[in-house]
Amino acid sequence: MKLNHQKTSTYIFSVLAALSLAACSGPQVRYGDAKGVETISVDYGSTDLQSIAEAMARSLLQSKVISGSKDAPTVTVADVKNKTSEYIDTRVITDKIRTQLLKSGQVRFAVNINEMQSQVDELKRQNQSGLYKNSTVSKTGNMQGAKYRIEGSISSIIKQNKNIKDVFYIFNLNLINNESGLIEWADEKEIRKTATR
Amino acid sequence: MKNYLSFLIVLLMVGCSSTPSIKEMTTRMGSTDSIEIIDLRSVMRNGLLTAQATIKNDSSSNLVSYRFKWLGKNGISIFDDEAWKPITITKGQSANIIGIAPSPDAIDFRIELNQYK
Repeated sequence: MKLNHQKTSTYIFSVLAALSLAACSGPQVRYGDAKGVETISVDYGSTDLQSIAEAMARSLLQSKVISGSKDAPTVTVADVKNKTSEYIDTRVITDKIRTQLLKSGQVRFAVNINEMQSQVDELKRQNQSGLYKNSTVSKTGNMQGAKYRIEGSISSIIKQNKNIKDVFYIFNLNLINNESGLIEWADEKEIRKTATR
Repeated sequence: MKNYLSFLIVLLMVGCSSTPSIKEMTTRMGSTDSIEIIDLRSVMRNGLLTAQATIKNDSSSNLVSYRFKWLGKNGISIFDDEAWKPITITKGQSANIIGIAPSPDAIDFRIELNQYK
């Protein structure tokens, strides 16, 4: 009887010790697959970003405007408007598209409006500071204007009731000829996500 | 005798240049056995390899994702791995999934299927 009582107290003590240890230890950290499907919530996420960028870059590369031109055409990235009610960093989408296109070697990119200031600053520093050997200075007036610009938008339709939330995203991208104003290529990517209780 | 030899050489050549089967071109992860790849084909379109896989779902579970692996000369991968793309496909439904190579260097492809949670 005494032995049984001793056994029970040892067991309770071990459980308590384990519980207190678990409470003290921090969260378990693991590296995940950056390319894996993310389904934590219906909000815009990494899988959406990756699939949009991939679909758009590949479709643009296959367009006649890009594949049919002799030299790699110069393109610049204009604005991608976020028309959803969520906060979406659209710059990340266009940066990702730009990286994929550049890696293919089929397109060249001119600096966009946001990067213009640092480009001007660098040219000024080289040309106006008087610190550089003349033969190595990047001259002003030689920047290349982009033949095309990329612009687009992302919109969403959200519907929900007590048990279901449905989000529909539509991402639209256009390639516009800067000189003629003609839209030379356009594509869209649709994504539907549903969360049920 | 000469004709017989030529026939043997042709047979050997055909044997060596045979294209891999759908099974050989597919990598499966997780339990994706109920997803059947019915057809796999590719074409060069505007200088880029374009692949199309027709898949069919035989189970009620539809949490399947896929990605293409693009290969260049000597079977070396072109670019990093693609992101896994989820596809919703109900029981009995078949769907075409299309992939476009990221660069003109891609000359061959493989398809990977995975289950997601």
